Amino acid sequence: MLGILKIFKFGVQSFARNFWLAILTISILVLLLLSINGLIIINFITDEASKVLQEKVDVTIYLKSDASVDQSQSLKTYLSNLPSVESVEYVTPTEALGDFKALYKDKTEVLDSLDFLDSNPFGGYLVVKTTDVNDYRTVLAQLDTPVYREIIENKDFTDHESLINTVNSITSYIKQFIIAISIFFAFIALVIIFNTVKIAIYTHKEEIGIMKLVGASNWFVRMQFVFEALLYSLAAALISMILIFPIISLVQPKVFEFFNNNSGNIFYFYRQNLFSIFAQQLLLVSLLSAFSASLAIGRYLKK
Amino acid sequence: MIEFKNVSKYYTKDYPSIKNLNLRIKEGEFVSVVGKSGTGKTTLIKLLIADEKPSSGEILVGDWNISKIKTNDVSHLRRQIGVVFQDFKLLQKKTLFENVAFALDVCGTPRKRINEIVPQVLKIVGLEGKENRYPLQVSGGEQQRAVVARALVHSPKILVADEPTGNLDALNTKEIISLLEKINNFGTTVLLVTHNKQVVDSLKKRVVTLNQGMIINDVEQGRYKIE
Repeated sequence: MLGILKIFKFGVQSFARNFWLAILTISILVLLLLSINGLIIINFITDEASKVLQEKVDVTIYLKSDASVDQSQSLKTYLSNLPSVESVEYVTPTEALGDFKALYKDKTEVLDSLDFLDSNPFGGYLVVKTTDVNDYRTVLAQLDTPVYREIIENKDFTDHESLINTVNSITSYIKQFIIAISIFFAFIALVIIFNTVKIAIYTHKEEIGIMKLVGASNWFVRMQFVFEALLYSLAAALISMILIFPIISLVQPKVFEFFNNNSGNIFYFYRQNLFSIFAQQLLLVSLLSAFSASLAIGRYLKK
Repeated sequence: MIEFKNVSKYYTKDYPSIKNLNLRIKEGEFVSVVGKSGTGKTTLIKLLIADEKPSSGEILVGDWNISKIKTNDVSHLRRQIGVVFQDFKLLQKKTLFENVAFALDVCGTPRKRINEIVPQVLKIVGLEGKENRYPLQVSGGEQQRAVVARALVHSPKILVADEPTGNLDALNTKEIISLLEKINNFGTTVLLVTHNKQVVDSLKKRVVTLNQGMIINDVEQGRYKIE
């Protein structure tokens, strides 16, 4: 315990003595973390866009005009009981006819043509929403039985599916790009911390030499530099978290505009996930720093 | 106490710095190691404090074979061997007290204990009243005393001094050597590496002479003699 306190003391001393070097390193780490936050925001907006699109998707199952109400209700009950189905709305043939008339109320020639028919030409239909957009195909496949085939006129999901596949594909590319950029940034952080510690070691060369001469353990020498690097990480994570909010306030109006004020609240997302975003970034940059510092001092201690 | 058994050290393939060296130093002895430049004196010290590993042979400190000492154990060895160099190796931005305390501080000694030990060793080396001065505010002899004090804080069984008087005038040289004798009288084994003939001759202690990495002379109560 005492050893750890001494490590803290020497780490803080070293941090203070290399003030300008510390400021420079922290600034670069802050820029890296802000870039990572930028990627988080892009990821959030992409997810939101995908979610909005998926919420708008449903599938309509058109029933034959001779399908009875009992048969239609039975199909509705069957669909409602499927775990992946969120809601099923049944529109009766009469309601379908009413909707048609309402749609073409200004086109008398269309409405007049209905008078030539003896009966209601419309069958009922079911509007189905699933909890996950990827479940539509499964749900529709489950209707492919002789009982339901007999009453179903048409069920098609192809247009929606193609759109959703395109969005999913774009989202997936963006996520891969984000991962690649994050790895690149992580590598930069690694190199920066490595060099900072190397410079700190160089400036403290004499002191480290004396430490080793008088019996300081390698662990003690190593840990004070690791602790110093952890201080850089903590400072950088705190500063980037403070700076990200003014940056969001600049971006937010444009994002709201894009989503017609219905979605894309980045502030809300950050407020809800503030602790987890901060903790993850701190953990990431701390691990990189500790590893990098340990590597830099390790090379020196082996000499 | 210290034993070198058939020790060789090669920095380059063909030229040994130390060659088949056998040396035994008893507990409480005061041994001067002399020899021309490049005869392996400093290598001998580096091997003893595990700053270098021997190419062959064994080095024993007490019952501890340090020939193949693990990196993590070096710090334990260094706490048992106090080291004094010609160039002092004091931190200029720390006072004499802080320089001496530094050796304890980096080994995790509690502050209370540091405040007990440091004044005691400063008293032994005669630096009472000067503990708050910085190295540049005291003489070379006093700086070297502070280094000796720093070497003593862990109460080492062995004190190694590599040319401790190399940068000092005659008066300060005499004082430092008297200090080393005083420390030796407390029971600490002292290994002194020096070029100073007067010092060696005045000590009337054991003298080991090295030449080309080998011992060519080892005399109890010897004199400085290099051919």
